Amino acid sequence: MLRQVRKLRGAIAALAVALALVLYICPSEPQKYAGAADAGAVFQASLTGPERIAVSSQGEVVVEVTARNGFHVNDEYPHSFRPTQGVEGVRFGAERFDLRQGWERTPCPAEPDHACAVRARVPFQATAKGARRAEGVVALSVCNPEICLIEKVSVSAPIEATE
Amino acid sequence: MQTLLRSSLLVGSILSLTAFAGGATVGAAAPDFTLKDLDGKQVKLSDYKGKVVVLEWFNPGCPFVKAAHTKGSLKDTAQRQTKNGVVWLAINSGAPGKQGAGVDTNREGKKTFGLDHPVLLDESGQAGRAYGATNTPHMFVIDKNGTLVYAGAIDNSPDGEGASPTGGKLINYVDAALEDVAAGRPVKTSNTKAYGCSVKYGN
Repeated sequence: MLRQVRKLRGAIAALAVALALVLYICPSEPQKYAGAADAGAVFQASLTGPERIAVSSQGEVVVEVTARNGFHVNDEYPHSFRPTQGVEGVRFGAERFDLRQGWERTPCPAEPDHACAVRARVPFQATAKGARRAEGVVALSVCNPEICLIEKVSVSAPIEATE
Repeated sequence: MQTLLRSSLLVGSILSLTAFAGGATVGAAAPDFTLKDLDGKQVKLSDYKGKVVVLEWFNPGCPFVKAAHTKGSLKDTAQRQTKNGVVWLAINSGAPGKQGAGVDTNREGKKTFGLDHPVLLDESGQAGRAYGATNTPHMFVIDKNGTLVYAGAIDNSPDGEGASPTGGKLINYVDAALEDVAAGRPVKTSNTKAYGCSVKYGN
């Protein structure tokens, strides 16, 4: 009985060593974001809206792209916001908005020629009363000295449309 | 006389350096090169004299290259143009260890994008620098006489996928240049600004 337990322990130990070796040789994820843990550590896209807006009046949502951990916003990329079509109660005047037109740039502290955050205002109209959501997809690109990334990120913001 | 000679040599040297730093010039002879493909076979540009050649600076790890080859203006373009007798050569000037460099990575990229044309490795960056290739993709068109007739972007949509063309209408600059060359016309748009990732040169 004791011998069997010892054998089993030995087998488990050998298995653990083999597993550790496999994990060491084959890391589970390629370093897509150049050392950062995930996309969120490198960039973020967000949409914020006015908390309240009167029905039929014009409002603005703000699209913001932030680059982090040595990345900056790629100025040459045509950053855009494509609103989701057919969302009840929220109407955008175009299928696609070029975010580079009139965006506000926040320079990177270490590299003032590059922007680490950009903010663009996008006009919309509330067409029906109630709790609504503005939503769409932000196309963005961020770079560090080694690599560039291009990504499409879904964003949304709550909007309360009142009389 | 000696002073004049020295001054001429100095001016000449400065001019040569300037020409080198600026890369290849549209309207001038395309710089020759000899590079190896992924099977180790040597490819010499001047061997293709008499044929129209397209050079595409390539990096399979660059998202702009991926977008252009899977959704944008590079999708199937090389296959279509090589059927017309055009020679299409992709060149990767990435230094060893950089993104998208190396035989295996480029073999994988060639397979992923379904490329039939050769991918040449320029790890020293000599050919890339001679052309002034700054981005991937960066495109060059050479006519049958070996003259560079187009240098710049693949198209006017700097997202790589053809979804946001400047001016609203997508223009594939390489297709347009090849059409002009085939018709015996001067290339209408011969210089544009390349977009995409930087070429991953070594130091």
